[in-house]
Amino acid sequence: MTEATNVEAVRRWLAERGAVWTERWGPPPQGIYALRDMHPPSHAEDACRQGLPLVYIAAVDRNGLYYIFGDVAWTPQLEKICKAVTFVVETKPLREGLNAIVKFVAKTRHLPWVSFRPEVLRLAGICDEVRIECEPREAWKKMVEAAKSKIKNKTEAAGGGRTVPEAEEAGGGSPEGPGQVGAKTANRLVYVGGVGDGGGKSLDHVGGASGQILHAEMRRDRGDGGSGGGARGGLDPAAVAAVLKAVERCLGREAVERLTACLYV
Amino acid sequence: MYVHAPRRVCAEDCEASCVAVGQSLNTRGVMVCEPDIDPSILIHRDPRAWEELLGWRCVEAFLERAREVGVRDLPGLVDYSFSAPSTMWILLAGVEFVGSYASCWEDYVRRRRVGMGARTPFPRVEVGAELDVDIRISPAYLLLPFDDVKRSWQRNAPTLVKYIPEIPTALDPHFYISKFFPPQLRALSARGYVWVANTKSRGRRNAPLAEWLYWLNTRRMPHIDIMLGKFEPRSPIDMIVAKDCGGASAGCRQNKRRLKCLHSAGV
Repeated sequence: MTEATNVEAVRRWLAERGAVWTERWGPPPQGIYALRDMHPPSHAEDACRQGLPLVYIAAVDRNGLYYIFGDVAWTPQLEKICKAVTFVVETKPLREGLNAIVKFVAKTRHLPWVSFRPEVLRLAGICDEVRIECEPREAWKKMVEAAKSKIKNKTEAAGGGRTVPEAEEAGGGSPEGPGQVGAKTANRLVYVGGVGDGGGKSLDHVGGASGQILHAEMRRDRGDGGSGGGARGGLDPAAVAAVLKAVERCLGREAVERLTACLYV
Repeated sequence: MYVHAPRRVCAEDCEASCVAVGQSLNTRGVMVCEPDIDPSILIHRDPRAWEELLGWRCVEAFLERAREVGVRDLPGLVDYSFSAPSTMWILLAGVEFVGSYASCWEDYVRRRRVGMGARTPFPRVEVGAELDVDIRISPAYLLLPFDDVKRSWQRNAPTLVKYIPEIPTALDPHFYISKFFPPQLRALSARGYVWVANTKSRGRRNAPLAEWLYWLNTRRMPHIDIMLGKFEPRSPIDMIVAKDCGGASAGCRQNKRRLKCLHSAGV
């Protein structure tokens, strides 16, 4: 955080939040840097020569451990050319305090969650809110691969004149056996793929360890006889609802609104 | 908090290590804990083992810190630790450790150091099998943030890193590693953990692989189960462990304990 205006922004935000904080002109204390890949000190030199301060937020917990938020890891070589301001913020309780700071920094610096250390995200409870962001990239890759193949299958099925649910029931894309069809409708998240199995193996998602959402599968009672019908462009409304529900759970309400707007406008 | 009437062990003017019996705080107000086990219990999903080997003083000290992140009770603490092992060094930063395992815990919490090798004293048996696998890291290494020790994983567990290049040490590592662990290796557990531990890869025994398999299958660390007499054999060959290595503790001083186990096993 190198812009002078940020100092005022941080002050204002802390005041609005009613946080307990102190502002110190000087480098940050020793602690855990919350960002994963920080800029090298050389990147800060231009800003420092212009007289702009490096801004740090140091969240301190009850044991005196500091969680440092800043763009550049402070080094002694910066002392000669840079001035720094550190906002030391008390975080009580730790989870809520860190959560607010992480969100503030992510928002003001336009940083994706992946820029933060996973440990800090976890302690801040971010992984509980947007779990998918904390998952390993390998899981993401598999999700993308599986989603691609799923879309391909669905496109092929739709091209053959069948609706998606019909295609799923007939095409064997579902990992379920026929005996598992139960309630009138049951939305279910299914993980498809896996290393070493060529992506053809389907594993049920277990234990709430979510995020591996590839498709929300809609099962219907075989007795209802409905064809489902596509609401828009062949999409089944129940399937859309299930996808939106999954998106809301993983990415938040805002993502649902954006997706809905995209689908229906 | 867990503070009772103090009965001083040391003189009034003693230094920071002074501990009052029956207290979970020392004279500086720092939480004190005397564990009977190494930090790998943090990935051992068995609250009863925590009670037994850490004791309530440690559990209270840990809970005191974990309440800050929404943990309420011991099962919640065990779950949190199991699902986010690499955050535990941060959470336990305020705890002071005493006793024979203190150095292991201090190494982990203060210096972020954890031994890489297997903890479990699997007895030596000639099985005459060689595996094409290179995993020399124990699951206990999940206690360290992956970003900080990525190179160690790449060098010492290339087989694992090949299948899961970014090990999520802060988010359900067991879940993801179970998903991505090579099924052909996972299947080896049917032959017995002792068998796996005694297979060779480039001249080394595969004890770490046996630990991974046990941990993936049970969510518990084998050496802790052995200490508590809860080891779950998967084949007749594993009975050697249950019979002869029970009670052998494990931790930072692995070599000493391994010898003890081997001696008692008579193999």
